[in-house]
Amino acid sequence: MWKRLFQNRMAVIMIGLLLLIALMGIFAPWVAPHDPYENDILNKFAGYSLSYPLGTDQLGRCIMSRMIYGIRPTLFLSMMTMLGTIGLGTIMGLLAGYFRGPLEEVIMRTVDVMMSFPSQIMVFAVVALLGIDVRNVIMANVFIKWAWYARMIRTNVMKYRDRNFVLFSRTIGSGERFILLNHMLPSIASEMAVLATLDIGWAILNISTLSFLGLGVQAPTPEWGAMLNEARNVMTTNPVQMVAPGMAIVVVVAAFNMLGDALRDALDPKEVQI
Amino acid sequence: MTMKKHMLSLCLAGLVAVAAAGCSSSGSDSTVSGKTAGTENNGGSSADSAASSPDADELVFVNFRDIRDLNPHLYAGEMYAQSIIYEPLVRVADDGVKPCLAERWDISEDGKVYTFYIREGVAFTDGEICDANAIKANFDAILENKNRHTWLEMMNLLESVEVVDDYTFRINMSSPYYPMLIELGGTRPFGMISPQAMKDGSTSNGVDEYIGTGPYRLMDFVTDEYAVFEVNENYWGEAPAIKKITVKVIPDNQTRILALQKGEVDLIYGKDMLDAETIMSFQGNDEFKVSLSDPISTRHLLMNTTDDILGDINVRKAIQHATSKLAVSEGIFNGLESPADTLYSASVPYCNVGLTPYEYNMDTAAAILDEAGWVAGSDGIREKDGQKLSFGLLYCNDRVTEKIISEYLQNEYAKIGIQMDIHGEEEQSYRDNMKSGNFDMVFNIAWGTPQDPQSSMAAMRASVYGDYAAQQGLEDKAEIDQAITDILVSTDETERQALYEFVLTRLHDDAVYIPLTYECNKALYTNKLSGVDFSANPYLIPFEDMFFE
Amino acid sequence: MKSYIIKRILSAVPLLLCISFLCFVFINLIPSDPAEVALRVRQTPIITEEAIAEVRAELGLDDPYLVRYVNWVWSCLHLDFGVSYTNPSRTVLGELSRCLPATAVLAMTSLVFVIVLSLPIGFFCAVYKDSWFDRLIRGIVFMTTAMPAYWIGLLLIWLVSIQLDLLPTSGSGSVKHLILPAFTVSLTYISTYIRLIRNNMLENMKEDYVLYANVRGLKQSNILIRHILKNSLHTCIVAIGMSVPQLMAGTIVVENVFAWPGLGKLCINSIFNRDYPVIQTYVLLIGTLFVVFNLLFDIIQCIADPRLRREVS
Repeated sequence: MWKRLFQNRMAVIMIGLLLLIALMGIFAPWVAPHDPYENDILNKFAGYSLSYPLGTDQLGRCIMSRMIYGIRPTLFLSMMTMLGTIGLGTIMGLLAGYFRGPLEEVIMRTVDVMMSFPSQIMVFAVVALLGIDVRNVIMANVFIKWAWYARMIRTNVMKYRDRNFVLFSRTIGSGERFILLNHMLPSIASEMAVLATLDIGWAILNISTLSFLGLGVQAPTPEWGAMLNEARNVMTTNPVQMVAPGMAIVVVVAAFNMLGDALRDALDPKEVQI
Repeated sequence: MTMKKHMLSLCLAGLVAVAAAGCSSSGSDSTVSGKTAGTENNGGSSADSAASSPDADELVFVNFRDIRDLNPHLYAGEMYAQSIIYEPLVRVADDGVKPCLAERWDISEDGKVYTFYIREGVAFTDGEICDANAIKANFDAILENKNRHTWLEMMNLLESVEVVDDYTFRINMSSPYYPMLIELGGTRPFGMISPQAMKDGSTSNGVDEYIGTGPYRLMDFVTDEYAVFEVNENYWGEAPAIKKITVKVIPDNQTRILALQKGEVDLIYGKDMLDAETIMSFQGNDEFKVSLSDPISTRHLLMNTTDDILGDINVRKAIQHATSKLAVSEGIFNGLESPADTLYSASVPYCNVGLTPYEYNMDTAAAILDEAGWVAGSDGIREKDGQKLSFGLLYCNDRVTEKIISEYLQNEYAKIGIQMDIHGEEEQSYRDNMKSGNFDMVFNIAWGTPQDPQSSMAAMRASVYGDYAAQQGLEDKAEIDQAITDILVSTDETERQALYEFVLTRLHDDAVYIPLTYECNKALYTNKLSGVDFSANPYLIPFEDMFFE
Repeated sequence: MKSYIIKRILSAVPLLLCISFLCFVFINLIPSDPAEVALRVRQTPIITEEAIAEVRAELGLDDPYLVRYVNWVWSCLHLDFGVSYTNPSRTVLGELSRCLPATAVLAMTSLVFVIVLSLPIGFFCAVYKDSWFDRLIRGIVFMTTAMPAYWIGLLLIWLVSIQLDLLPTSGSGSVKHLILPAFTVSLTYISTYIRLIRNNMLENMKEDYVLYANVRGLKQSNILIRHILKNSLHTCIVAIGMSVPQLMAGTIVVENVFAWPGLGKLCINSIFNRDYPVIQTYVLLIGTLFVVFNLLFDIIQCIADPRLRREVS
């Protein structure tokens, strides 16, 4: 599978791009030209220059530095969300699909209830309840989205659980935990990988939307959605501020989506879309 | 199979029909959930026509929120609307108190009896005559709810009101009170409403209709969308040039500016409705005019002395030294508002007492904190006895510059190891939290002329704005309150001045307030409009003076 | 088949109960004391312990959990959802019913946009597969899925309203105000449906009956429209119908950007103002809408598709 993936040129480019962005975020203090929190109020709305490549915002802060530092919350938070969602979803899906019986009933009914709520609303409601804080945003996202993944994983698990190699393994006396970890998990790993990349894209959009509305990351932390919120407040006087963070979000999310598509193609050549 | 097709197409047709119905109904929706006098059900169409066909008599104004409850004896509505519908006995102008519903008045020798001679020939818009009996009915209703009005010192001193004859009204006080007439000139709570509109002679639970004597009447409104005021044909005074005012509700700052640019509204007015950038960008534009008033009040921050950290006077003084008023004035307001060093500017009566400003000096601030035992921890934030030097700043989302000032200060204070979290709320929750003392540091609401300094100080003794709750941690709070009470009842000018000096010096030395700039009222409007000036009270809008050329 | 319908309706009831219970739990987890909030809302000048105790008794806050839950459900069924915390003169029901038509109009118009735009575009993408048109559309569709809806909205405002001055910037009141917000909402769904229609048509094109039709000598356009499109439409329309509640819920951000006076704007304002009754009722409303719509469309789908009907009976 990996060989097929690396043969896909698009996938390789995307992986490279995302790695580059991640590295820029990790090494932000060295890459960024200025301190993202440093405000120079008398120098607000400066134009492009060598020292301020993307100009300054309404408080005189360097936009380029804020974009680079903004990689950290954007990627980090969405990674956490994705890990939480996929983790919880996988565990539930595995348990439901493998053990069937009453456990499956309980889990799947819960999944039905969770899925009958529109996810956006529930995230807002949970944030409203717990207070406006980034950790609550992550918890809300995980709390809502795990159901969808649980259902997908369960479908996949059910495909594999009655295969011969699982039966053989059970005959020779392997414990359930062993089978789960060493047989089921690797089988669904590829599907999980595809879901994970697509989920990160969704998580980035979700977190930036919440930050844009003021419910996510709080000032003065630089985050692309929050930067768009600030840009919106000066739309008539400095419209150019809206462009950079939006483009960044589009590029990163598109990269993840393309990667996910490429992974899906690499996984199963029979299912390649026309 | 044809059945299935019919089913599907039927469902789709149903959905489209709902959509069509929804579209048409929203266009002419005028669900009047309140009551108005003589409602003309023009609804949405009239609001639209006001904007699209510029009539020389019609003005389109914009506000950030709905007019809400316009009962003048309570405080749950927009003041600008209340002041064009209702009138009090007297009005406060730049040059003093002017007659309104009272043509003239006498004050007794001992200053305790006020006799008002009511203007004849004034009627409410429902036909009811406005005479001394109507005035008394209003006062009865207001006094029934006395608890709500104790922020006005005169309420505590008022003994009785009586009707001498049909056009003579008398108020008896227990002691002389020099700001009495200024307080009586407030539309809230002394705007006169028709006794017929009251609920059984009372207004504490609301009123049936909004009927006043003022130059305009409320014709129609849709909650959170618009309100329409039309001129009162039977107004006793000079008829205003503008015959119809439509107020649109647009909460977002940028959207308001765009609406003005595109001609959807004619006027943006208010001290916190426009930021400096916008004003600068419009100053070169021929199609619009900018008006700025003289400085009217002080934009200031208030620190809650009951908070563990802000209760330490050294912390407060350090913050004073760490705040650059000049940077706020130049950097955020582009010089439109001048820097303020004292709570009341020296030009406010009684307030030129020679206080030493807290000089902006980061080193001094850092030194004060070091000496007080606040030492920087590993993350750069100062600590003392295991507690971090951290607190929150509450600002109002609906005021366009408060967020930026908060962010700027957040960064500045961080430079000397102070961690300040900022939090914005909309006007109502912000006011509720401020009144109940639910804040560490807050943008306090300033009264402005002519209420400064007497009514503002009087209000420090009750939970009107944030002052009362914030000052609770001061050791000399009781002393200050007593001094303020003494000021209000004093009759001797020298004694009064000395008391003012005492109070102002104490408050300044206690470092409870951080003055930032002297705010001025701002207006941005289409160049076809003229006569846009500013009244003594910054929350009132003199629509009566405006006219289209 | 009737038994299926009845079974389906019955299975929706426990779901509704679950949703209502979650909403009830929600309101009881809020940090502030409802009795104190009620007092503050009534503008009581001084809040004392006795006053709080009085209000607690009045609101029945000391009753056992289940009793309060049942009381709450009962009052909900009577459409009494309480009073808004921030604006005590307004009831929650009043607020919601004021804002609901605006959101419904926006959602329906977006739906119309989605159908009107995605059907022909998807159709032509399938017909001219792999042409420059197809590739261009797929590229654009891909980019739009990666764009945050609010950013598209902001850019549209700046471009269409400010620079080109074609349409009003925000608010409501005429058809012109409706165009930009509806278009922004529909963009996120158009991409999905273009892909859906395209794939459905391509799959149908490979079916045997198309071959037979070609052999019979029917005109290409005839085949395309009367056979392939008709069969592809079927699943699409049901999918579009199912997404109506999604649309209603998904207008939140767009309403915020365009100041559209609908449920979404109400929801966001309530969150900032901590107006819990409104949030709770809103969640309940949307959840119920979801369940009801899914139920409705499951039944319609069952009735409409003979294959499903056979499967079920």
